Amino acid sequence: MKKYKLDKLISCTIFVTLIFFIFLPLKNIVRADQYCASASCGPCEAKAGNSNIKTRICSCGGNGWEEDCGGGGGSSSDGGGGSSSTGGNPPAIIPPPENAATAGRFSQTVNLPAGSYTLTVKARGTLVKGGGSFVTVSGGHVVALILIPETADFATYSVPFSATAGTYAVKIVVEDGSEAYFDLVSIKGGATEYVNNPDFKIVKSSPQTISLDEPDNWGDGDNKMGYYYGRATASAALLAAQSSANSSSSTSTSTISAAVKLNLKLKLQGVTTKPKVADAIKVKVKLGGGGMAAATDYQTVDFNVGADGVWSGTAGFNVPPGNTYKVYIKGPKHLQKKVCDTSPSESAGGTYHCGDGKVSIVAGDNTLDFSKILMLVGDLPENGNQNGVVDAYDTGYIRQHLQSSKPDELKIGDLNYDGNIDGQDFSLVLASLSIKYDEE
Amino acid sequence: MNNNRKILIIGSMVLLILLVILMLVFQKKPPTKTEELSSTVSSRVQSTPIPTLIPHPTLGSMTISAVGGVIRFPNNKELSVLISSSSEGKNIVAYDAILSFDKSAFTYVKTASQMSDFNVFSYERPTYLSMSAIKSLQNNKSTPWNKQPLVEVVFKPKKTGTYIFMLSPMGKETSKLVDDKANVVYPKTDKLELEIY
Repeated sequence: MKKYKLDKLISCTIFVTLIFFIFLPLKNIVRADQYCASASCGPCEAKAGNSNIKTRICSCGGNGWEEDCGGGGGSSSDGGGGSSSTGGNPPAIIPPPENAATAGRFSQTVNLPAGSYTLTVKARGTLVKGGGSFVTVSGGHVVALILIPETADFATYSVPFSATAGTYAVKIVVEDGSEAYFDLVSIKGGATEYVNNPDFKIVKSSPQTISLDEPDNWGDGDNKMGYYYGRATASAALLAAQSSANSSSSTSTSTISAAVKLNLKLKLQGVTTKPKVADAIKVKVKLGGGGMAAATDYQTVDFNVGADGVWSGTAGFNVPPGNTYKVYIKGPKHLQKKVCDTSPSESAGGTYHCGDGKVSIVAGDNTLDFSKILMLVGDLPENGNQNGVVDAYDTGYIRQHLQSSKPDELKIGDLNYDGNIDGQDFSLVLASLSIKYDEE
Repeated sequence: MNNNRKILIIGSMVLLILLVILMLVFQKKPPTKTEELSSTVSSRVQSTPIPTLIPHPTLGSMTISAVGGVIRFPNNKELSVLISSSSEGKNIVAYDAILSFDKSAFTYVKTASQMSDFNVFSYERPTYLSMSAIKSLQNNKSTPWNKQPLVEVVFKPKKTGTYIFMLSPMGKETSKLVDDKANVVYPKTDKLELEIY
């Protein structure tokens, strides 16, 4: 009987061991297939454990699992500080988020008459993951969108948009894994504010799911994430502190968009005095930088030429004042020039290039003298459109229309506006081949 | 009986050890020649340019070929590809050739016009080479192209593998021909696969 039990024990041990060895690898394969190969699996990040071994967390909608990263493969941007939900060092007056990342969506319906509007958002992104944080205005389709990047402090973003008369939804979205604080979501058309409680000063009294109040006049969604609203806090002291911080930070960040007028002066390559056959041209102008999420739309501006060959025109925009703007100029036969300085200059024609915007723009009139740099010619209109490149069409057109004085051909190929397509035009377009591309 | 039990235990242990060894062998067996080859092939990076739609009908052709018809080249030794074109009777005065290639595998060295009356201007872009050529003003002779060699482009390979060179549209740029009436013609283009060993 005793021997029988021992034999049985040995057999069982062997059987269990075999099962263990056979199914251990299979189990791992199933785990990987189930979770890691999922398209919904979020980006993995490395975090430091207690030892030097790094693990990565694969966020798969709550079904996360851990696996070895393999000798430091990948490192988190915050220096291995783990899945910190603060994304850096938040100001002391803003408590670190405590809740796990869950998409926070708020919406408000607004009725807009047909017209032009500006969507303005004052926000601070503390963590951008997955879809990030953003604000949209949509009426069947999205007509305005502002993405909220990670910033050390609150910043104001504006984007102009046009709307036909109708009902639009303004949505604040903080996608899974992202975190942001919002202090203002505004739609203005002229002097009219179309968003109710745009700065979240009116706070609902009843606490929500994460013990912070929700701003009033914003629709209740499935996810009541009032936490993400800058001023939607339960604590009056915290509200006051944050209000104070916001007002002090407003000195370093832009304020709400304002009507600005740019009085521009330009010099075109090949035009040194008032040309014979043109005294007005249409030039496209747009603004980038300045804390805006995206460059503005082009404004087509009439420019008139003076006796000194300097062209003058005025462009109007509705943007926040600031000192980090870039101005993009695109002439009718020209490569686009990006200008980052209020009064730029260059030692040789066409050699001015810049990186970060340093153009200061204030509400009202602004004078920007770009007449000490040349707008290079060469991107000729083909069927009325320019393609942003000096290419075979441009050089070939000038070459094949040399000595032409036909008005239709002059309109395209007379680069110096002297009433003739000649060798100078050909040399100008060849010179522009050295640059070849629009500056972006 | 006692001996039988010992034999059973020893036999079981041997069987178990054999199984463990077998499992280890299967898990860590060295790759076979076929697997080695396939892993090498899969690690070879081929260029994957994103084509831009051309809203124009094509006319004529612009082709790319390896000089001398060779498609295998040793690593680290310069090689040349030749761009040729047919213009379907049109007299071409300017052309653009947009040649995409894998910049992690090749270093662009130079271009050389194969037509003395055409000046070629080359621009190295992040994922391709843009070439723009213009016919000399002195030459007004009408010469339609028929498989006319246009430009030779020299590259130096940096690593082994199989790579594709394509005359495909990239961004705002498209290979094109401009005729003597300044009309733009978009030729049919092709690609070339080269092996670097």
